[in-house]
Amino acid sequence: MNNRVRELREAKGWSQGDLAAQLAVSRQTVNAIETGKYDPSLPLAFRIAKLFRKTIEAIFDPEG
Amino acid sequence: MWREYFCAGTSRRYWWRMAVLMTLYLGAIVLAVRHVHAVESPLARAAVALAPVLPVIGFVLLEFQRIRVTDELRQRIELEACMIALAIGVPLLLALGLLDQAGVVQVRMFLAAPVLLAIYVPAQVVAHWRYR
Repeated sequence: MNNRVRELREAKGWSQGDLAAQLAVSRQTVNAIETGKYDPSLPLAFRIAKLFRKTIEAIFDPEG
Repeated sequence: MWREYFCAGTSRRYWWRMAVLMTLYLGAIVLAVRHVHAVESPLARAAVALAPVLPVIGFVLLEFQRIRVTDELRQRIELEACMIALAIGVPLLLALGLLDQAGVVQVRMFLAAPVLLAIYVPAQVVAHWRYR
C-alpha cells in the first residue's frame, strides 16, 4: 500500500528513529511502512494519522 | 540493524533470566548424559533424563514474554519464522523418521529439537531480511 509517511516525516524534520519513538514501534517498522513492505495495523495507522493530524485516507492509499 | 534485531524486546532482567536458564540447562544436560545410567530406580532415571526439559520450557516462556512486548512487525517476523521453520522442519523430520523406519539411516529422536532450532534461527534471519 502506498503511503505518505516518509513525506510527512521529512516535512517535520524527523528521523525514522524519532518517528518510531513517538509511535512506540521500532525503527525497522517505520522503515518497512515507508517502503511499502509492511502495512500497519489499524491501531498503528490511527496513531500515525493522529501524530500527523491527518485522516488515515490522507496518508494511506489502499489502491496503491 | 542486527543489534535492533537481537535486542528487540529484551531487558537486563531478560538476559539475567536467560543466563540462569542456560546454566541450568547445561548442568541438566551434563547430569542427563553422563550420570543417568548410574541411577538405578527407573523413575529417578526418567527424572534425571528429563531434567533438561524444564529449562527448555523456561526458554520458551521467556521468549513468549519477549515477543509479547515487541512491536507488531517484530511479532509478524517471529510468526513467519515459525512458519518457515515448521514448513521445512516437519517434512524433514518426517522424512528422516521414515528413512529410519526403512532402515536406510539411523536417526536419533534426540536430534529433533536441535534440528528444529537449527532451522528456526536462519528462518528468523530470512523473515527479518524480508522487512529490512
